[in-house]
Amino acid sequence: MSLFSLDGKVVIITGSTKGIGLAIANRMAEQGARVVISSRNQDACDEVAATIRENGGDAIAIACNINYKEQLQELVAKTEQQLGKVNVLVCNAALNPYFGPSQDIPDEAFDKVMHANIGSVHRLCQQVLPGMAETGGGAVIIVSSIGGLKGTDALGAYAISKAADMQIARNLAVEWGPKNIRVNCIAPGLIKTDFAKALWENPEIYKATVSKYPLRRIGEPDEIAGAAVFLASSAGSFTTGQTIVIDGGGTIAS
Amino acid sequence: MSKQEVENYVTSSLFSLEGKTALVTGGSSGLGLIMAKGLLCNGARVVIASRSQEKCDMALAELSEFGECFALATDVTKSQDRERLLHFVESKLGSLSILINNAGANWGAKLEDYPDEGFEKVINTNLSAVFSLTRDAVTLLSKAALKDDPSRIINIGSMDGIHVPIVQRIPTFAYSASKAALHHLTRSFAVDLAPRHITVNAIAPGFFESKMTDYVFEHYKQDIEDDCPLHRVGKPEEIVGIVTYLASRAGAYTNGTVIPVDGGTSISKGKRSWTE
Repeated sequence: MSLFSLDGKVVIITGSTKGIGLAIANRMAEQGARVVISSRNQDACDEVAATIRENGGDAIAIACNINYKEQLQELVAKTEQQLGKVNVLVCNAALNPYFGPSQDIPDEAFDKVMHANIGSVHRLCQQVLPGMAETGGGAVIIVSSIGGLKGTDALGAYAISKAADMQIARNLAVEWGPKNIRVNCIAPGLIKTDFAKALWENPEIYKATVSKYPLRRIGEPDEIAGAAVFLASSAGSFTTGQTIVIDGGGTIAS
Repeated sequence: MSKQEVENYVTSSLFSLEGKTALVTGGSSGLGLIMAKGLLCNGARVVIASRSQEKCDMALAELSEFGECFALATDVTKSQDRERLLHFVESKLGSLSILINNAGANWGAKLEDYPDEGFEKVINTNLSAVFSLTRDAVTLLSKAALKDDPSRIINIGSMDGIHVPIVQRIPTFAYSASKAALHHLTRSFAVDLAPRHITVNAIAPGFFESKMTDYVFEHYKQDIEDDCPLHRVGKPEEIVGIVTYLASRAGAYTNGTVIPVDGGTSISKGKRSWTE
């Protein structure tokens, strides 16, 4: 068995019908994982799961809106019913309803970001980790963002939630390490996804944006998926509590 | 190494190192030897360097079972040795796609007894030599570098460059300082070399079984495990795993990072105090 194999591992990936979540799902399925595709829209989940199965992978689809605790509980319960206990949890889904100065953000928008982005990670881990421990251990991967590492005048609440991800990883790494559960974050920079389309679709904006990055290019979703496979597999089994920044050097250069 | 060990090290396409060329300093023992094995098992051709000819010969005999490997006795702190090493790499491998700066030294003593020459030796080996060798290797690294598949420099830092180690109860001032500096040198190099399609990252290992840790393991293994959230020391494949990730297509956009592989020791509060 290869160092990066995920053969037979049950993996839940939230927000996995497109972008980074989808790339993680594809690459984990390629390594033999049994992946649970999840996003708000059941049809979109079904479609992705079917494609993975057509390509020889193992996938099921369970829609879930991460804003609701009952739906998170249901996601875990249905996964356990259909595939067994969760071995790897990838918390990827997040939202950002507001762009602008912190001074002007409405309370509802601020609370929504904290509730959805931080709350869902916390609640999902509460749901999943005891079962994961029963199987002898596992891995949690939280998709954070380099937004959580620097000050910002436009993405304040989102950035707070992404910095919180990194602390959740440290806390849970210490709390669950003795049960052989590892918890890490990946902090992507600018990646070629719909989420960041405004920054790469127009060639001029793209050029201006990447000129600040040492590698002078945007990242591909697969370049995040590789790190997720690493962290989930036995290749990463001594890495815990960490945040792996994948941004072509953007954060350290500015 | 058993067949099972080889299988443990082998990876898939996203993580393949087929066609790559690598140089590992300090590659005749400890983590360096393990990394060299991992690179070979995943398809890279490898040059190892270390000070002792005898250790080079022994390591080469062991490594040659797993792929095309070469060894040259080298003291990385000497400029003529570094020059000779890079010529050797060019003649054997043609170009260089992976440079692993792993050779390191340590010195432990109480502050009052800590000699200048001990401090200098550690800084020279762990920091200055890395700077010089990397600067001189850029030409060879550039030859192998592509925009979508950059050449990789991997510096072996340490969790001791992130926190102050107290578990072995003997201060290692120069080691911690050199590794912290190496982490930042990694970032400076990453920014400088990225336009030439060379990425630079550091791994910060925690405790792994190696010659360097024999002494502390003998005396403090229980404390080391207590301080680590995973309650154990690292396994060889866990160093191979991170190196393979960073050196393969999977790690092509990862640049300027320091990745601790320490079972969570450096982010945990720890259980004991220095005076205990």
